Amino acid sequence: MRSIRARLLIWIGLPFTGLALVTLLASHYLLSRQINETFDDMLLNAAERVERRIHSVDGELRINMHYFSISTLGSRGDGKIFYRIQEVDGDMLAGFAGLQGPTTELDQPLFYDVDYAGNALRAVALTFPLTRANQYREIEVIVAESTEPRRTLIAEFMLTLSSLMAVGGLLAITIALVAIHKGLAPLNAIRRALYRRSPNDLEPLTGEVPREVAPLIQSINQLMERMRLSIQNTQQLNADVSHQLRTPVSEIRALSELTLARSHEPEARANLDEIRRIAEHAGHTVEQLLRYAKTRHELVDSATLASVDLVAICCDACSQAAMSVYQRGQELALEADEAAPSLLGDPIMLRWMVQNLIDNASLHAGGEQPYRGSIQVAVERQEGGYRLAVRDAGVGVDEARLARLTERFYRADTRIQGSGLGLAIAEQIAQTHGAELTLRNRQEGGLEASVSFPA
Amino acid sequence: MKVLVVEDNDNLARSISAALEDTGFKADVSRDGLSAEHCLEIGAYDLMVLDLGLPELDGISLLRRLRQRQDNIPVLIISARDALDQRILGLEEGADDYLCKPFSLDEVAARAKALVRRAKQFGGETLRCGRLEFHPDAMELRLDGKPVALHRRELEVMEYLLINQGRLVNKGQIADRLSTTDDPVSHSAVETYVSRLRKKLGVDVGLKTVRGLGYLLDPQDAG
Repeated sequence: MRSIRARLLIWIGLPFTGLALVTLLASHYLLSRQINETFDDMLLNAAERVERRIHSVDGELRINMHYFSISTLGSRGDGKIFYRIQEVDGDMLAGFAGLQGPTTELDQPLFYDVDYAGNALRAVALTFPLTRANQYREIEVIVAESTEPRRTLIAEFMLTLSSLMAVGGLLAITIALVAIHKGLAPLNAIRRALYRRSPNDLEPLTGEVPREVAPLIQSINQLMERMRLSIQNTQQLNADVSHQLRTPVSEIRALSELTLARSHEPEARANLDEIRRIAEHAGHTVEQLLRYAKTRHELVDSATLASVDLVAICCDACSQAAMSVYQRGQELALEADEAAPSLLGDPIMLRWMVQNLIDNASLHAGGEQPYRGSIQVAVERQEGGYRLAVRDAGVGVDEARLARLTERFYRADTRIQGSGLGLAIAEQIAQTHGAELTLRNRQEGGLEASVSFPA
Repeated sequence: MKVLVVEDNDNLARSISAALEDTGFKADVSRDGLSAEHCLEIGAYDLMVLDLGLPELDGISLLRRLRQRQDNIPVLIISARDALDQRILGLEEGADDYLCKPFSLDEVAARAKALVRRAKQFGGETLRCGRLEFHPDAMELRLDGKPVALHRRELEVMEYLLINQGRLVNKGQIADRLSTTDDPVSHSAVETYVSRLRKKLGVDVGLKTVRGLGYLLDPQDAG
């Protein structure tokens, strides 16, 4: 579909261009007629003045052409004049004999176009009675003038008029473009506002909009609200299901652990151990699913956000993770900028995020081998805010897989147990806090997960 | 040591109490809040394991009542409800620790032991961790049964680490524990005590330094 700008330009531009052409044509017609009439009048006037130049000397007609001239509007002296004076049905008195006369009888002055000696001429022919020395004669006068002066005049007029119209047209187009731009500005503002949004931002569009656009905005907002409700319902269902699964999974896990501790039969023990492992995994998945559901941006009430100390949260998360990290033969370290930034956030969610990042490093840093190195948690000042980073010195991740790590249930290594939600939750929590999670391989080896918080 | 397990789910109640008995507790089970309150009034318990979703009287209300009448029994909460609101609520109402379902029985036993140990940290019970043994009455630390000659401050640090074994302890907590109003202890002093402790013990007893955070005495790596 054509853009609104193109539509407006076409609908403004085409009719105006057409109108301008019609105006030019009409002007040309009217101007030509006016100029021709004026020139014709003068031509007639000149022809009529010939009468006064005729006098008779001893019954012979003479013409004094000394003072004969035609003053025309545009001739500037370059118009060529031809004339022929003769008695009707009689002798030639003066002028150019070859100048063609009218073919019909004249009872009033007649204008006509004629060619003479390679010139396009406009001629007037008239007859008048001449009584000189009691002689009555009928004299025919033809005066012709080249049509060039009138054509030049018309052309000059038309050129000036066209130039004026062209300038006017350009001005009109400029004004139209500005008007279109101004008129479309609110739409552009809305487009930019939508473009800048994160994919998870379903907050309604706000701000002043022109009356014409308001229904559109309203529709967009209604659509977003419906999407938000739909996501909310899905997440609520997810949360409810996870919640309902917690107790049965706990029972399975507890009973298998208990029986395992009591049983001495090798095969039963092996099976029980497997059941226990599966229940543990299921429990972890249920837990992570619930967290995933609860940290969705749409479900987070911004009223619950409080000013939180990022370093204190990292300390808490490290304390929680320390035991299991050290039991896996790994080390944990916290490098925190002393001037701890406080930011608006949900402390429990942020702790989950840090925990998930530590767990991810702890479980996956070694690739196929168990990881035996150190995990560094760092809070650093960076341009335009703060950065929380969790780094390991493991084998890193294949570049092609990096981008997929935050997908739900995507697991780079299926041999290692995990819910497949850890990094998705971390990313979601980061987004909920207006931050961005970036995963990259470190130059010195290993993976760095960093969360950049805006200031 | 007596523990009261308040849990309305039979399987969980049975499993938890069995696991705690394996750890050395004597366990009683209550199925609802009201009977739990009754049990607490007559029996002297060292610990309560409390499920929050209970019939009759819910867990949080029971906990609130207990704390209102100055009963300081250590309480470990077990809940199917999630952390976002419940954890804070539980800890604010005076719970000492919190476990979310699903949990492992080992975790329940370890937390239960730690809670009792912390509640009795002035109580004079012998503390053990791998090759280490600490006798609070005599203020004596033994390694493989042989006494180690330590300064009083070093012994206090060791006692605190043993009480909190398996948990990350930061320097501030140790400094607070050691400090008196007349004699404040700085973070760097804590570092000195710990490094001297290490030197005098001479062997790895599972005491880790967690850079930027503090110390961790790992009972499973204590030799």
